[in-house]
Amino acid sequence: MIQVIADSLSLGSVYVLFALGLSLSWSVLNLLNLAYGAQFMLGAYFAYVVGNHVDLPLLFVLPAVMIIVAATSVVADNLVFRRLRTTAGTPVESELSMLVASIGLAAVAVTLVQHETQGESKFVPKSVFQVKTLNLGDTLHLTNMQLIMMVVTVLLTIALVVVVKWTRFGRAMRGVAVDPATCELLGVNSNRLFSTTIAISGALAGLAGVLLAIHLNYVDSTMGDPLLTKAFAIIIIGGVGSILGAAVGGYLLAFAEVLIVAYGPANYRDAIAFVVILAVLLLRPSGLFARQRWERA
Amino acid sequence: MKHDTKDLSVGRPRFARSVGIVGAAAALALVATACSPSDSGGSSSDSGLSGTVDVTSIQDLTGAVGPVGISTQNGMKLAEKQVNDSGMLGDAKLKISYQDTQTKGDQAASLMSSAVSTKATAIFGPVSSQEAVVVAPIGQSAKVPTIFTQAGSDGVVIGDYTFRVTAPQQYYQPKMAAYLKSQGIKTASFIYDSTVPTTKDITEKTLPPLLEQNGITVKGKYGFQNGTTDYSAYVSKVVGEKPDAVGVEGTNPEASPIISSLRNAGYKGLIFGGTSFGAASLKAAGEQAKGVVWATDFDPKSDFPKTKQFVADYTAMFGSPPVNYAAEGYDAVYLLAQGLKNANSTDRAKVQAGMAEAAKKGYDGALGPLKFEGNDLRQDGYLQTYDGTAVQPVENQS
Amino acid sequence: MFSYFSDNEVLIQQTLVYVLLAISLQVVLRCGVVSLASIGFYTLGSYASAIAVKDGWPPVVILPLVALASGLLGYGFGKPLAKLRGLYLAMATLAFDLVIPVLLINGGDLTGGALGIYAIPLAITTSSLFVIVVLVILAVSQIERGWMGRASLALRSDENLARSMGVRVTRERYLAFAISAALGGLAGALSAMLFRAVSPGSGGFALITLGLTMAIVGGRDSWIGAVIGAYLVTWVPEWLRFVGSYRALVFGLVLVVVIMFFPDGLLGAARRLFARSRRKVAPASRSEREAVPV
Repeated sequence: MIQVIADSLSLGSVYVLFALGLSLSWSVLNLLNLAYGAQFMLGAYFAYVVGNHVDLPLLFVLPAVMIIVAATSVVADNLVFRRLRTTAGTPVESELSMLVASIGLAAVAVTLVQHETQGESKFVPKSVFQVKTLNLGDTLHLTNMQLIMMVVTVLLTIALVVVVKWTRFGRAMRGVAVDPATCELLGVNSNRLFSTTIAISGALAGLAGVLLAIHLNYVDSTMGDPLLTKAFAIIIIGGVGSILGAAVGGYLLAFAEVLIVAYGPANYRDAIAFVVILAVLLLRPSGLFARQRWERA
Repeated sequence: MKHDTKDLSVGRPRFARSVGIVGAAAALALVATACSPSDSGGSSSDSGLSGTVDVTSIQDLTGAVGPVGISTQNGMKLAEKQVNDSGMLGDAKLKISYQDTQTKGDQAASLMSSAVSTKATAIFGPVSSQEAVVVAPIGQSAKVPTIFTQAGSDGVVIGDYTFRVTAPQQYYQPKMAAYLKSQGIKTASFIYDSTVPTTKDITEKTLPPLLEQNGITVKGKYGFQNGTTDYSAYVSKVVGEKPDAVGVEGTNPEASPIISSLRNAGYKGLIFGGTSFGAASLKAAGEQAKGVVWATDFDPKSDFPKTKQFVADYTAMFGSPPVNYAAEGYDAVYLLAQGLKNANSTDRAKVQAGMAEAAKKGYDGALGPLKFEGNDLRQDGYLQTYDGTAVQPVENQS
Repeated sequence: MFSYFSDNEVLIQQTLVYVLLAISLQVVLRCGVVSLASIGFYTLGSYASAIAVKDGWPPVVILPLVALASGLLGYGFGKPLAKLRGLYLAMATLAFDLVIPVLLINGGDLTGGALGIYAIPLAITTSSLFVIVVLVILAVSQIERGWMGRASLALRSDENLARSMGVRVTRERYLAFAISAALGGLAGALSAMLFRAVSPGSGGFALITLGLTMAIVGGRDSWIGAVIGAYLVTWVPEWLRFVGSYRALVFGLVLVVVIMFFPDGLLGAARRLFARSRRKVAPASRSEREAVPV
């Protein structure tokens, strides 16, 4: 049972780490970003590239990769999403067109990396980070990377909650999410705010990509997509716009998945996320933890 | 929204017009499809071999099993070159056109159908079972010789026109089971990809009875879906069962992450697997993969002359040593070449007969001495192991 | 000319099936409802049809039955889903689409597990497929002109306005759901009969992407957009052979460019161009685009 809890915490950290940036861009920009999996993959891929070119440890590689991915995200936003946000007639139109554009952008990124790696899976060199097993008692095994991920996830969640709740920037962010026009009148530069959000979201994707690539010992052009659907489930459980909700949702989903592998029919593990999405949306669309209803036309 | 109201106010006349347009288009296309002529059968020249012999390869090059497809294609290219350079087909030259399915079944179907309707003498089918079962019936019913490699499931070799130049993995498992017994293994558990037909069959159907015969108890089998990223839940479960050996049956990119994860979780026993293990796929796991054992159909270090020659030629042409998929592709092209030679014609029926004759006789290939059962290759395979950096043969194979 | 048809028969069949799939997505998108459920019904329909054909049922029975059953299911599905908006609905229907393959993989002998069902007897010809698609287009184009066109246009621009104009919003939504599901199921059933193999992977994320691409790039306003979209996704990859493995990249770029510069699809762009050259009026902005009779 201890191992089940440890596995759930580790897997939950994987999911939350991945979902935080996606949750942010969904709640602020109304962007169902299907390219997020590709951004994550870029993080992993750049960790592989940077790690193979310079002999530097994780502490240097990680920030470098986060900046690269954040920059590519901002470029994509300026070139594509900004125009779609401003020219579409209705909110539904703009959401749909951004969703479709994100599919196109993801295809571009995935194809480029696939071409560079010739479709083979790669790995982040051991010079960046050496994964070691920590034996905590007879039965419990955790790696140092799993521990780092757990700590980073908790710290990031707290930091994001603080920023969104208590800072000026966070208030503006929440305001823009609900009513951009009024916020503009109140002196908020919504385009800059959107760009900043995109940059943070991209940096988070890059961070998740690097850590997960090391944890999984695996870098591949298509590695982001399976996590994308899990992240959607997590955001739905927690309620769109709730960072804390996403964190709790991530650990709940991980716990359910670990349980079904440990005690149930393991083959159905991947159905859980989808069943959860359907059930929550049909029974309690605002998420399990949201206090007020966010309904957007 | 101005036009909307305008658009809504008018109804009938436009409807009538659209009926007209659609109707005319319908008539045109019906005429066209109804009159599909029969002259598209294939270039059946009976006057011996000459000119170019057109062959189509339908392979996943950029999709889920892209690296496998590319290796296969490299082996085929080498064979194509050697067949043409050696003058094996007299004046005639083999010309293979390489097409990409992107792991899409419908794409495979459309490529296959257009290949069948052109003058392609024969077709090389995709390595993925899911695509192969789409392609095989089309080839068989159109009576076009269709040659597969890999694609180890049922529904691929379905008639006299379908050939397979890879012994399905099931056939090398007896050797694996015997080896496990010889190592004193009494219990085994499995982590396997339940979305890949071959690995699913091996884990659920082929291996359990074989292990049983060798006195090995299967403690648990845990299937995951292709694309799973974190294996820790499966690994914890398996490690908790404390089996003497763990079978990892998945695709190439899944090998290293699962092995690393097992070792990180403190598993110290034997890890065994299938053809997804190899120098490229174990590199990420490195030292952690030391000592894993797998069964495969190709031993690049073999003393068999044809294999040695193939390894040397391949390395000279592509700059890196071949893997099993390349050897299979190479042997597949030679099956066709012998069929063409025996038939001395590009007529599909004659080529089929020629290939069946070659298969019946057997031939020396890159994989070793090849024996067929009907149109399907049979081999008992080789056991290989990894020393942390390179692939080595397993000593004392029975 | 004739050998062109026989050489490309499968591509033609594929285009026709995709036309149905694209229309199934358009029907809902046009009402301002981002539902992707028809992809799930496509997968269900293809399996139902594969099993029935192998069991010896005639296509004339299977096709209407699958369409009807999908439509009824879609109607029932629409009830709880109708209250969801925008991205939430997209998400719920996406989950529906993606849970189906997991169930199919674990479906045992009935669904053929990971391999799916293969060696399905050829049950339909290209000409009958063509007739079916033409019939569907006729029906849809009539609906486009009639109640649905009015209601959906109003719904898309302003739901409350639509309600006050007497559009029964909820009922229209259910009907759109039902029609979308029926067409998705029908397209799936036809695909199993034509391509003679179904596998659990065929209906996943890739098909959702493909379906949306067709509906958006072609244009959502009319069935002609669906035809354009289906034609492009089937044939452009053939023309792009020369770019080799960069094909998906070019495809992605085309998608982004079209959604940015021709938000109402290529059909909308063509209409504007046509209207401009005919009337010699000043370039129309998006909200003033001219409709051309079809």
